[in-house]
Amino acid sequence: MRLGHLEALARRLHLALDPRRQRLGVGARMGAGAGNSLEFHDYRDYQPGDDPRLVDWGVYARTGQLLLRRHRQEIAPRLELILDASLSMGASAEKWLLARECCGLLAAVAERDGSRPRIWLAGESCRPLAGPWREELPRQVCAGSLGLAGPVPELSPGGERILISDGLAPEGGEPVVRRLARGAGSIALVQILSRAERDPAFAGPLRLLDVEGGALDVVVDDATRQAYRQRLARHQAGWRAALAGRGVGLIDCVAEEGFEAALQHLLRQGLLLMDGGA
Amino acid sequence: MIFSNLWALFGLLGIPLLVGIHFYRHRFREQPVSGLFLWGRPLVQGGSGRKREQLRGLWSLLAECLGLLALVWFLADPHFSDQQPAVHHLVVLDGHERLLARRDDGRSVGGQLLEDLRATWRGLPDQDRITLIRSGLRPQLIVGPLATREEALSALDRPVESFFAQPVHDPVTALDLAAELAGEASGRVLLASDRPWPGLPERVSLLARGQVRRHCGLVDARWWRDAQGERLHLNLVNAGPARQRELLIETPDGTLLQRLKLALPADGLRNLTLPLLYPPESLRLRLAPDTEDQLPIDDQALLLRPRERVVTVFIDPSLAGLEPLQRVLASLDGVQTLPQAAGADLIIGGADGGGPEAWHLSLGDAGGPPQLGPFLARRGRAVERRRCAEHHRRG
Repeated sequence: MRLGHLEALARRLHLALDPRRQRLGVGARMGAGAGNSLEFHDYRDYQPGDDPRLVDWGVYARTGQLLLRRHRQEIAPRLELILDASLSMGASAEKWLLARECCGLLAAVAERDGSRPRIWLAGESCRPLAGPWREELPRQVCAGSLGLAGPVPELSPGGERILISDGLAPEGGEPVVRRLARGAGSIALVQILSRAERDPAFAGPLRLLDVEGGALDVVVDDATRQAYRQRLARHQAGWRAALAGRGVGLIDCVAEEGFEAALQHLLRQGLLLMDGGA
Repeated sequence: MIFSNLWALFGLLGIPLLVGIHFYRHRFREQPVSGLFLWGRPLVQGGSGRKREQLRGLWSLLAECLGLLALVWFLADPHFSDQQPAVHHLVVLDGHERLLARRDDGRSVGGQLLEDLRATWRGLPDQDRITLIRSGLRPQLIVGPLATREEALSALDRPVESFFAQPVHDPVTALDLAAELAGEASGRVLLASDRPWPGLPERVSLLARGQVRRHCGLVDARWWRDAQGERLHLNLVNAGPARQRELLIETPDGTLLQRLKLALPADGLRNLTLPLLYPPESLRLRLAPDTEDQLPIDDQALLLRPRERVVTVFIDPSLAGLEPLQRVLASLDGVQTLPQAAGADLIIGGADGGGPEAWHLSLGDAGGPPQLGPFLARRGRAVERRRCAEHHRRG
């Protein structure tokens, strides 16, 4: 992993998280609700019990109406990065490297942005990364077959959650999103697939061995591959449908295209913003 | 163990063949993938090939091997010994018509017996043989001898009534015939009837399907007259536990002459002799009504006083050596010896006289060859050979 390169990139980026979904208290970012910042938010009618210091007496003098002046909320969002570390993510070295680099970049940007990033490794079980991510993340290897389908850890309520995975859960995206998005401000998936997974080139009579277990004897030909691609497209559509309305949705990256291409996808999809406009 | 068809054991060679096929059945190249579920259902599974692989589908292999073993076992027809003899089952079916009586369940006893036989015969080994004899005044061979199971079963398809139409008889004759047919070795004799038959030979087993009902009645009543006078001999039977019954002796017009309380033994007979001092011309015997008696029809009997019959005999005094005969005749009740031939019913000797109805019994050498009656000819005793008994009616 090129940690220096990531840190340099992070200085020019920030997270485009949706403040309307944030529900935490004070922080460095403006929230969607009313709070105690200096920035004006809106007016509302006075209710008995409201602090009289918040009454806009100027308005009262002009209109005789008691209105309360409200200010925008300040928030400090928490970013939960859930990195799929199941064996399917290690199917190729490029795939696993790109997943970790995306995870590191998002963590670095979040730190710079004032968010509090926390990285979860979802392999045999879902556990938080022990120790500073800059030291731990490069050392991680793939293990286990549960991935995102495993038990849900105790995630911070209201946090922004980003899944970094190939999304190849047999049960589809909807149950995964339903479990992991519970109590989240928003949720998105950075899907990393290899070219072979998108468009398999092998053919002939094959015994397909799933790296996470299971085998299937099949004669692969054009029709089989076409059927595979259609099923993959339906599978991704399922993920998109599940993520719809919960954030930026699914960001599709190709492992062999490298980190720079993936960054472009993250920017284009709106998960990251470049300082001075993307 | 003996195999009827030894060549069938070559079928066992199929087992290593099956194992080999299972070892070499997959020829597919391995290809690791991440999302196996996206490949859908297998297009081809199995198939033979040349690449040896680890054994898979163990249950399938075991099932195929077991199937092959079962086939070989069936074809080889193994058995433990050739000495197993076929058993000859001889069934004596009580043919009395009372077996058509219905039980509480509405089925006839005979029908039930036939059903039982049918069920028993269906379970017999193929090699066993069956003989069915219906008892009666003359026993009848219905199945066999030594019929196959199928033949015997088909013989039972006749109407039930055709098996049970015989009057009162003793099944001993049929049992004797069965024992004769059974021989010494493996024959098994079964008596199928509606009741237990005491005193059956040890070799004969019994299948009884009748239904016991409580009942007592007069089975024998005789008016006896001899030198000791007149008396009644009665036999009463009791089916069920021991009990007391009242016997009423009446005149036919209903005048009660005597009332007796009789203790009847459980499931047994009671013999009774009653002297008649002043006998009337007829008597009616009646058991007092009893609600527990299931068959009151035999609770009464009407007896007529037997007529006194006297036979008069004259013995020719000229014949010597007939004193023992005179003594015998004198001791017989109803025989009166006369001193003269006139009026005698039977004249022994050559004397003339007597009426046209008189019988003459002559003793002595006849003019021609002796005419021996069947009894004498059969016995062939010396004394009868010397003397010829000629009896004829003169007139």
